[in-house]
Amino acid sequence: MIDFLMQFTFWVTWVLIVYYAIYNGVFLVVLLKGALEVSREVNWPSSMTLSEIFANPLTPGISIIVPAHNEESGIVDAVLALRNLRYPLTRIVVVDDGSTDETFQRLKDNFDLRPTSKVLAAVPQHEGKITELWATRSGDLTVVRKESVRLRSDAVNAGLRAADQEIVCMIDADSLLERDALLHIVAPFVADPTVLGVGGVIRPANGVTVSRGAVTKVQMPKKWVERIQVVEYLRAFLVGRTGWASIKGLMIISGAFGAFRRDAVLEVGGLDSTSLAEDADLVVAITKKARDEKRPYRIAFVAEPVCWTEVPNTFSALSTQRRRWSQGLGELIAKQRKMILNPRYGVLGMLTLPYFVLFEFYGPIFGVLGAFIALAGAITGLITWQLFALAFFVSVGLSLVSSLASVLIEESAYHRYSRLRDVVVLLMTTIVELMGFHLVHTWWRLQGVYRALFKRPSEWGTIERAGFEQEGPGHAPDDSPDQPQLQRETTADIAP
Amino acid sequence: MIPSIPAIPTIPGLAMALLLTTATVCGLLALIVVAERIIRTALAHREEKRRDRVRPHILTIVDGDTPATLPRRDRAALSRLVADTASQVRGEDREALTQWLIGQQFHRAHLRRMKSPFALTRARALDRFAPIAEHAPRSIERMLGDRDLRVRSLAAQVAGRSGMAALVPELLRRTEGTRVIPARIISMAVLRAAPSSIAEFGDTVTDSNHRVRALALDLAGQLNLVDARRAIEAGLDSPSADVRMASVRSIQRLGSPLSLAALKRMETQSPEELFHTEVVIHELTVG
Repeated sequence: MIDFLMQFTFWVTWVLIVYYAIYNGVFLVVLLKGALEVSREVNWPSSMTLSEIFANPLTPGISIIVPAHNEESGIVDAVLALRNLRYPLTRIVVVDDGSTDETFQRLKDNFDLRPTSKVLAAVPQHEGKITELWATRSGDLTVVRKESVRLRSDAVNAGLRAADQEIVCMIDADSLLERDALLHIVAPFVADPTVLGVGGVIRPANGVTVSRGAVTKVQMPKKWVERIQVVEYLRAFLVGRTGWASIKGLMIISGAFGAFRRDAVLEVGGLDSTSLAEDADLVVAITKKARDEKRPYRIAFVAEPVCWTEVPNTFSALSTQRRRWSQGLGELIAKQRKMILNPRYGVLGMLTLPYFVLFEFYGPIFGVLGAFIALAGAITGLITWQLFALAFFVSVGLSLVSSLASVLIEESAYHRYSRLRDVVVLLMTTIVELMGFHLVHTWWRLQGVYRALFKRPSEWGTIERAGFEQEGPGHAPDDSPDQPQLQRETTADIAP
Repeated sequence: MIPSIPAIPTIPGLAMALLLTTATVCGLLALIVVAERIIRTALAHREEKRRDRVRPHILTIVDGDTPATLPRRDRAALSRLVADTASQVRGEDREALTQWLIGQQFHRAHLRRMKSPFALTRARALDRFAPIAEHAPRSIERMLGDRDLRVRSLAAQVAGRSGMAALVPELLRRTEGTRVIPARIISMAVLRAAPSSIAEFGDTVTDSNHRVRALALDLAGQLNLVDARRAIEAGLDSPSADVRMASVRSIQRLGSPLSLAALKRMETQSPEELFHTEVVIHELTVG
């Protein structure tokens, strides 16, 4: 029996070592590619391109779809901020998704809305019935009022029907865009007619200071739960997604901010309202359709920090979000299982999806069981400490290297944190994340895996929103009447 | 005590060595992050001071005078500042600044870098060269055929921004062929270059390639080139639907009743063409 245990522990530890070596090895390659791409993007002369796009009458118009459910506190500011973006032709479509507060009334009072008989497109389908349609005289703002079915994707689909521009951009009502965000995100569409979707770098807005709808000061947030997410977003968005996009294997464009060709979205029927990972689902569906029809296509990623979004500021909210992401990933994998290891779907089918299946979805199982067996084996003497140290190196050591490299890339390329103190905190957070948070996170993800495998009902949580910190006296989030605590459904995503 | 299996019997100490290496790499990365911040802040501060020091010399250059002799690094900073300023001003001021840059041989280094094997280097050189691009149209024309799409697109933007109407035919021909430039970027560049006559389109309005011809006719209409009327009307007889539709759109934009006869003569080949043509005929007739 002891002999069996020794053999078992020994081989499980080796499986763990090989598993994490491949996992971190692949990610380090993606990270390297991402770093090269970020470096290229940052150094590429873009100011002329952006001003050309802004000044030109041929620049494609953008319909910005903003689903809003009980957003009375921030909706007016959000629309004003969108109107102030530097872009020649924007049409804002706010979808009032069954709000029971003053969301619509605030919009009506502030933007002189009037009923409109605008003809909506017949597709995509959505469940919640559209009750009213309002618009400004100039037509730059349309408000679609609909019954809520408690699904963001349903609201976006309703908004898509009112979107009439070549490009559609979906954002959350509490996302804050950089002033040139739309110019950045449209540049790939202009430069390459085969581009069907573009994502941008999203950063946690917790800790940043906002003035008149623009980020003016970037500091590390005060809570560790928020700081940890800053590191995660750096690693996943800034480097990870840039890297995946550079090898033509991008699978996710975040729901918080992404742009697509309207026709491409409509061809796949809009967002899948049954999916917990509707944003990834949309990208995969568009890629699949283009590949199936052998059409040239590209899903691009702009390695510029263009969008700031508020992330959960309590462990409870974060756990709900991460469980849902994990479950959403499982559902997506099950839905698109025919694409996995299918050469017809290129890098997405042969590398990205298998990577997400093996390491992102099933990762928590390996993480929890493997770590337990290896640690117990080392303590009881079933395996040598040397072997345990090797397992520790490939799992924790390489992860730490990738986190620190992400921080280095941020610091070299963008250096958005103005104080040296913030950079030091960022470095410390990489260690805290790996040593403590990683275990907890793995446990939450494991719960998501369980829910996906056993088809448990979807769980949509709420995030306590603290609002953005406003610049100047009398605008602190605690005493600002415009930024009270609000609750809303969290944005779907499947991995940071 | 349970006997352990010797895990790595052939490479003793490997795990410990790897752990130590990782720790060292992590420490180094952290150190580089902090050092990068400190060094960059110091360099930016120094560059800012240098720019403040040389900024008054710009007025001297604009006045047509020669600035005082400066140390090498200050001279380089002044060149960069003048290049930045030249792209933001127009008329005599711009001319004075670009002439000074040429006198400083500013273009030589950038022309050399525009032949670099690295696309990023070529793009950056092209961007820096932009303020004096109008003095070297052949170099920009060569960059329109660069092997990297983004560099070609950037060259098109430079051509448009510098008002290089002479490059319009070359720009339009880049719609098709081996080293193409996206049509939207070409259109932006041509509109920005703003040629004042159809003659500056060269033979692209009669090009055998229907995409080139269609784009040329479309842009002639967008630029309201009245002297393009006959070339546009000739497009109505093209076997290509793209060219015919471009001609119809341009006639609509020009709004000249003189084109009515040509429109009425046109043999439409699809319901869509017929519809658009009749709309334009109606508009021109009603006035």
